[in-house]
Amino acid sequence: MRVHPLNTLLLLSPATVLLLVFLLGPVAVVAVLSLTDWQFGAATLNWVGLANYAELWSDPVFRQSLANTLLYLVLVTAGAVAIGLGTALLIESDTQLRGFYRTAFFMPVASTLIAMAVVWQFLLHPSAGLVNHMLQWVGLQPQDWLNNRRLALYSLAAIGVWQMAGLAMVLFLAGLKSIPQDVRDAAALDGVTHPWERFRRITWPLLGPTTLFVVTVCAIRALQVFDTVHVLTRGGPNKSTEVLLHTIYAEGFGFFRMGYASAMTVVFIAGIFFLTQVQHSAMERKTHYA
Amino acid sequence: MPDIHIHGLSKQFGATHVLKGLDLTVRDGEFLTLLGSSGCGKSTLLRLIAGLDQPDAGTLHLGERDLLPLSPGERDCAMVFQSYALYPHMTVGENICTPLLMRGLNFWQRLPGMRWLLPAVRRQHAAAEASARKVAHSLGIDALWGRKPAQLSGGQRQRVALARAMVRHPAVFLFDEPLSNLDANLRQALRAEIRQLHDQLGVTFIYVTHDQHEAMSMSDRVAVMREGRVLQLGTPDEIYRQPAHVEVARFVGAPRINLLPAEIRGAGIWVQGQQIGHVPPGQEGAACQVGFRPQLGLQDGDKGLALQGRISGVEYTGAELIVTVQLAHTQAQEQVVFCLPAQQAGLRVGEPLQAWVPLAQLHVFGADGQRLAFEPLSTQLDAAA
Amino acid sequence: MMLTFSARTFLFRALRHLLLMAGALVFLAPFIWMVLTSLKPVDEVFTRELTLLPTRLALVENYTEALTRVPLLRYLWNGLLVCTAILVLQIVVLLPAAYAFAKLQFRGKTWAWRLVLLALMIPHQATAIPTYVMLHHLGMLNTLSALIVPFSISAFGIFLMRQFFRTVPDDLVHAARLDGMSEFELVWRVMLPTAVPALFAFAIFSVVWHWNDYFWPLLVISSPELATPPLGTMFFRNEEAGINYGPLMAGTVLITAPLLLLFIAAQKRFIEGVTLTGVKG
Repeated sequence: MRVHPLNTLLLLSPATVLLLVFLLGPVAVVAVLSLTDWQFGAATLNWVGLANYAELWSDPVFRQSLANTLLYLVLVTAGAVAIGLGTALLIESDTQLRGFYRTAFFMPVASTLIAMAVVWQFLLHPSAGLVNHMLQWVGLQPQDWLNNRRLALYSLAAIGVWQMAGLAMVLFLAGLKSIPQDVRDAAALDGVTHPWERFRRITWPLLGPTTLFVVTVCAIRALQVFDTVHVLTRGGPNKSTEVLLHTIYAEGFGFFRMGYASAMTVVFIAGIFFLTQVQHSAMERKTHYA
Repeated sequence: MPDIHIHGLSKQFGATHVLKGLDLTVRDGEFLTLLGSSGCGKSTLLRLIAGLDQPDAGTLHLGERDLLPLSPGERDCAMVFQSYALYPHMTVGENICTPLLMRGLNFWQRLPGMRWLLPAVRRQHAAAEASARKVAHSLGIDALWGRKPAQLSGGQRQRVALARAMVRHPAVFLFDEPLSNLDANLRQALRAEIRQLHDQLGVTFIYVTHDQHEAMSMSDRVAVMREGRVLQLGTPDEIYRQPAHVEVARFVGAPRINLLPAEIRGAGIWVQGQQIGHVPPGQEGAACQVGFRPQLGLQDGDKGLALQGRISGVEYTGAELIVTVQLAHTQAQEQVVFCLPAQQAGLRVGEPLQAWVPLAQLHVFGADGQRLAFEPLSTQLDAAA
Repeated sequence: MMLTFSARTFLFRALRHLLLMAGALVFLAPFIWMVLTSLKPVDEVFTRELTLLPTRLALVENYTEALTRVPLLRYLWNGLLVCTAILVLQIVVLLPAAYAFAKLQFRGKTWAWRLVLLALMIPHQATAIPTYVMLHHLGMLNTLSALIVPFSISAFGIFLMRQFFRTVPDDLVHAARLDGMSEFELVWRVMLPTAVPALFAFAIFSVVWHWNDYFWPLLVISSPELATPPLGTMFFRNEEAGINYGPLMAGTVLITAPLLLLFIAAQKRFIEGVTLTGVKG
């Protein structure tokens, strides 16, 4: 039964219009703007072609920002995935207190990051912070975690791992559940008893697609880091924690050089697109694995 | 190999008592089937024997050896699963070699890379592969050596699972409904193959199924289970001819056994308004059941249990007629079923029918379901029965 | 085996608990510390040694300070308002579209769907610049509408619900049409009730995402009365100038509490919803 085309149009039009106005349209505008030197509030704009991109390439702040973002991405993804996998394996290996552990590790994911960032600011306080107190307690040297140029990015990465590991854990728990109990039983009967052997021969290979998926999820989220940087360090000290989104924010809404900021946004979008493609192929592999 | 002794085995999951103090002896080299409907505990029992679960109470011995403290890999049992349980990421060859590698090499020799470093490890791998190939050849799957399970059909996967079990030369083979996922033709072929395998190897096979046809056609002995207990343990013939419990009689045989309510008055037992014989004392007034198999046919002559009624259904299967008869002398709407040769004439729906069931072929079950010793009335016994 | 089966199990269990408990403690530490500090008076906050529990309870002072220094409850209220409005708009917009993609045939369907898939990959910060400029020209900056309207479209929501609607039997739709229902009624009376579980997960996903969104409110909101919880936290922190952490922690407790309580109350669903962000990316 074919529905009257007018009805279909009415069903689709709000979504389509909003999609174009607020999602697809703006991306197209950003791409176009990146080829201009427009400043917010200016009456005119000039076409500069790829000059913005050339400037990005030689801009030391942008290069630093990009490098910081990539380092942050690698640290947080590796940390979250490792801790997420470890806790998922431990939780799944027995039935006691599963709910409690799952809640505990997932809580950072559920919380409001900005508020917790303020808490972390206090925790990392050089003299009154819990972290330094604990370090002193075991005899180690306290540090100025957020103001030390060499440490600041790693401190932020630690907070990032804290916030993300629970998400990785939950995704791994789902992946572990999908390993058929029969295969585990068969392995037990075959003599695969040692936990390391079980992990190496059965769990890890069968988790392959899940692992790839989790890595891309964490990477995409890590690439979008902004909140902690803006709240705790503002990109400092000395741009050591300057990250992509923060640079875009500073250029576009601090200096109002929106053309230039658009070029940065294009780079940002490209990164996300790439990671999303990897994620899609990971999901493909997941469904074909059985 | 010695016998397997199971004594007082109990297991509960949460609030459900799946096994309640089960006793069983599995003789060396026999093909024993655990038969029952789902939930009766047969799969649980199998898993306890394999070591995949621990019982709450009871003992399990292989001869003198206590199996309970041993891990599944140490019990020398191999298991073939309903879902095949092949390692999806390994090829057929790797699947079959795995049990040999787990046994032949110790932990350090199994670490990644050792194969290329130590010649002794390499030799073990080669020996394992040789054994595995031999077994694969005997099951006709050597052509599939490099494929992954996802690329195989159901029957092929089952053979790979069998090969993986066989390659270890275990003391006991365990089968958990291995043929349920296959279509009827394949099931028939594999049934025969599994039985042949047993005769070849001479090793104890413990087979779990809910299909009574499978159980009857393959086994040396059958343990009919229900609600965590063994109702009867015996040869297929014993199970069929002398069911010890009404549930055993109901479960085995197709079409189902006919059951009619009977009454005990004094020492006599009455069915359909006739006394058919005597039962041991102590069962006064109890409500029991009398059963007979549909395959008995319609007896001529007027000796035996007389049944009168009207034909309510006739099913033609090509080989026979399955006739359902609505009985006349009843309070409830009782029906009995007869299996008759296809050529039998005069059978149409609505026609009246009269039949006599020889008393010697009747089974009597008490109110608790247990078989009752029953002495048929001599006057009604057919001379040639 | 050297140890009995039960001894091995006990040892293994103990080790597992040790590791997981240590980890749980580290992960929960910020929350515990936040609550403890919110109870401490100012002289106990900056101490030389580590003091866990307050000797004097400053609960009333700290929480009153937090609630009066800045309109904290207002922030929470704004958050609730904005998230609810966004969710309602999203559902109203996406359900008919998801239904059309799932159950109807029309010209250009493949291309339209490709557009949706494309929109899925767009990170929300990428559209900030043009959307900001557009809102500026419409005079809508620094209003609650600026927080709500751009998010009324959720490509992910359309994707999710279409997947779900495809599993609804076509016969149900046919029966409804034969009963005389118009397409709109169909969406709300037939498709919506079947979609409730999936919508619930989506609702949690949407609420959590927008409740925690800092980037966009930072750009468009400048008046404290219109702030959502994350932005409000920043206003509060700047007010407190970081001298007295007691009330500041009290403030963060109040701001984090709603989501955390929702989480503890509906854990499974919560995790389901937030995990969807994994699928979206």
